[in-house]
Amino acid sequence: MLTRNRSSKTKLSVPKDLYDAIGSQEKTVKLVKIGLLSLRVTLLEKEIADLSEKIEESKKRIAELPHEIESLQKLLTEATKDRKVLENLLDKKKVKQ
Amino acid sequence: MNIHQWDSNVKRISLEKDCEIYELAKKLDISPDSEALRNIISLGMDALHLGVQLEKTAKKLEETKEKLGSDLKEIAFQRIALESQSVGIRNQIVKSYRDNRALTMHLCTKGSRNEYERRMRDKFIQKYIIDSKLI
Repeated sequence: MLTRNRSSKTKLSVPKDLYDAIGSQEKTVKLVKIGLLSLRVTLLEKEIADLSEKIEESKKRIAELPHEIESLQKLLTEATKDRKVLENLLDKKKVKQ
Repeated sequence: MNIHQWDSNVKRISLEKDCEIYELAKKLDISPDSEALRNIISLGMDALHLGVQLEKTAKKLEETKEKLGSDLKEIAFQRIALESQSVGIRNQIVKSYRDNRALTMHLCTKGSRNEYERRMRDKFIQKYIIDSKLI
């Protein structure tokens, strides 16, 4: 659709039949501009929907994580207590032997 | 914008380097072929009645996207901090369970002196040898 030449100018390559149907350069340029804007709006809407979804997903996870961390912390505390009991039991055996 | 030359089946229209069309096409990463231009012009015809409104809408959406991007970045930092904390504790649990499993196996090789020792040994066998795959 766009090409650039050495003088840094960009050119629109409009198929002749399309240009003839539209009728003028000004109208062609206007239609291209509106078409690009329309496409841009559609893509932005999609990107915004994706961002919103990611935000919601992260918020949900952030709400879950403190509970998850609390449960893990309980498990770790229990395992640490168990270790002390186990070491104590094994020490007693050593003394007995 | 200036008018330009005719190739056999193509009309070339030059745009200035800073032209809005050029910037928009660059943002959209439009491939440079006539078929793409046909589709763009077709979209332009469908949206012709929207005119100036489209520019305002695009600008507003750009601002919304920027704000949401910044919100997401902030939320991502919070999430990463919590996820790291969770993973850190989980790793400690895995290590503790592995150590306790080894100690329990060691305990199994010794005889039990009383009811309490037997009860604790059975509890640890259940927890760290039989059920430990749950962690």
